Amino acid sequence: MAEWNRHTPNGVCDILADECAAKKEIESTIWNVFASMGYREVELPTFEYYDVFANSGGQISQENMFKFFDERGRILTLRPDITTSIARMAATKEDLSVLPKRYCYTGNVFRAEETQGARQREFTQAGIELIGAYSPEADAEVIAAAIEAVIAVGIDEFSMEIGQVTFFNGLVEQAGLSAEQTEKLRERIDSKDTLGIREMVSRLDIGNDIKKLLSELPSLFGTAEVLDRADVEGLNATSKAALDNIRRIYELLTLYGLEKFISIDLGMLQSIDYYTGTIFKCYTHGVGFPICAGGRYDNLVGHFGVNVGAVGAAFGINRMMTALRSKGTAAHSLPSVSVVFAEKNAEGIAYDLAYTLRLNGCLIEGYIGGGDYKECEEYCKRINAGSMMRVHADGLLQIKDFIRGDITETTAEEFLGFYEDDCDCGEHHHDHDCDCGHCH
Amino acid sequence: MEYLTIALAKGRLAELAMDMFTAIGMDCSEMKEKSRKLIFTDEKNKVKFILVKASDVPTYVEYGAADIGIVGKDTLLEEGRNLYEMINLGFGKCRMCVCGKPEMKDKIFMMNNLKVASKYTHIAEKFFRDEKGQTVELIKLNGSVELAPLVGLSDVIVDIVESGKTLYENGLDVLYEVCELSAWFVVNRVSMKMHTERIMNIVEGFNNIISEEK
Repeated sequence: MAEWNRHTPNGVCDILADECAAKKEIESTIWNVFASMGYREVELPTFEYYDVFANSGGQISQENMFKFFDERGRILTLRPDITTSIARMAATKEDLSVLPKRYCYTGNVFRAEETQGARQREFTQAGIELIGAYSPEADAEVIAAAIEAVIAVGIDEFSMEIGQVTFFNGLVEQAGLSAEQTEKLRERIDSKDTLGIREMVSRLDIGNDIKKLLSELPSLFGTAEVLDRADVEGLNATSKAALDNIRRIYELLTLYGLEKFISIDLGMLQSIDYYTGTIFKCYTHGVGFPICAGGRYDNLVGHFGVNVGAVGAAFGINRMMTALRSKGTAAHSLPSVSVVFAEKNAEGIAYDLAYTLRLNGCLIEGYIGGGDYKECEEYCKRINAGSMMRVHADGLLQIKDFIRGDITETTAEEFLGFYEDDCDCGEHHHDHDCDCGHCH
Repeated sequence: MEYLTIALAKGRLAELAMDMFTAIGMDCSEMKEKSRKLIFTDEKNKVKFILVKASDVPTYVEYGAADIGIVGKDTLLEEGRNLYEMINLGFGKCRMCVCGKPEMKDKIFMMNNLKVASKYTHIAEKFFRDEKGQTVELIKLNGSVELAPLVGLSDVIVDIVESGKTLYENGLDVLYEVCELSAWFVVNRVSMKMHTERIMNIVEGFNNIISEEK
């Protein structure tokens, strides 16, 4: 029998310390952006009843969900996304008499993808949901929040593509297409197969302007002028309203000062059963997939008993890490650690010293390797420590700075006093933070 | 300027594709020399060509390791990747067919537990399930698929038919045409947005060549 105890299953992975630090940094940066806009964090269960995801018109098909049973034979599912859970939570647990509600989240989601190792089956999503607001202002706010988050993380070259699925729905309505024909046309537009569309459209009984527009849909992306190109004679009310809506959202984003990141793509037609209006995706260099996606899904919360609309955005944290890595900027270089080494009988002084320095914001590791100071020094070099603090029983403190390559001799008392003088906030003991706002 | 990376399916499709890229002013000379190299660069246009196995082209493009790919529709259908399938290039034409012994012709869609052998199990499954509403038993093979019905491994096969010569020589026949195939120009969804102008220039060039040929 094969032994699997040293391996992780396909599609899941360990995140080692350096990478994890970069990941947490991204998560907290994004969280700060969302929180500052009034989005309040919620936590949802990692698994739920299958029914929650199966009957809510979600984007994830059943073969892509991990399923198992509870003790009564009910089907449980590892969450394939978090938006659905939030919709359920909002509809069933929250007082929706005051709207809108703003939620944010970070968590892992699970997809049973066919993987040959490359595609992840567990990955981290962070996102926001704005529930109970239908105005273009709501859509613009969510898109602006998403853009702010991407910028805050340090990705500066990116493009936020905005589409509107009801524009296409209006055209289809007008052409009187069957569900099957609609799907075929949608597929061709979504894959930008211009000739394929032309062949289909030529047989339809609709005005020439609309025919031309349908064949041009795949290339209706770019700056805001595509909205003018799309505004042809003979659009029906649905399509017109869609254009007005996206135009207004674009105007608002211009007022946010974010227009340089925005492009319009009226041919973006994925998951049109799920989205009911705006749809957007954010692309950057170095990642072959969108780093963020979202849109308006006014029918989702309704599946859980309360008819309110919603708009939201979700970030692929792992993809953002890839984007930052390919940019070549280490997302974040950690402050270097200092190692405190206690000579015989100096443990008390060493602990005191470490405690005080930590209170003052320093990153201090105690040496517990059991060797002498030379071995500690070796260890420091191996882990790239910034300095080693060798404490003697009589209070003597030798600080070896590995960056400057010199040794400073002082006493623990004096060294801590040096910090206190520096503080300029009067007398204090090393059992409370000096609170002077400086990181020492 | 960043390099655009173009993945070509090794073999005849790559050669025909190279002719098109040359026609729009790219330098493929390095690739035409016989060598074992896998990456060829056109420094002037900042383009890299990579030669990969046909079935891997959609993977390279979906993941963005290549921005553009030239690959047969059979591979695209089988792999089912999320790409822009932008231009039907028209060359490398052939058909995906259900083939078998001639006497099977009227029975295939009526048989219970029809055994279907194919290199293209996804295409076969999708065809029988979605178009014919039929549940079939699929047998994945990797080559000489024509053998399967001859030795009783399967009732029929789903395979690419070009001239049909191999089929006829082995007493088999085309029983049903699933779809037409040819080479396609595919683009990664992000690349399309990040390098719109350069990619659209190539698309335009290709479209011009195709409409001239017609």
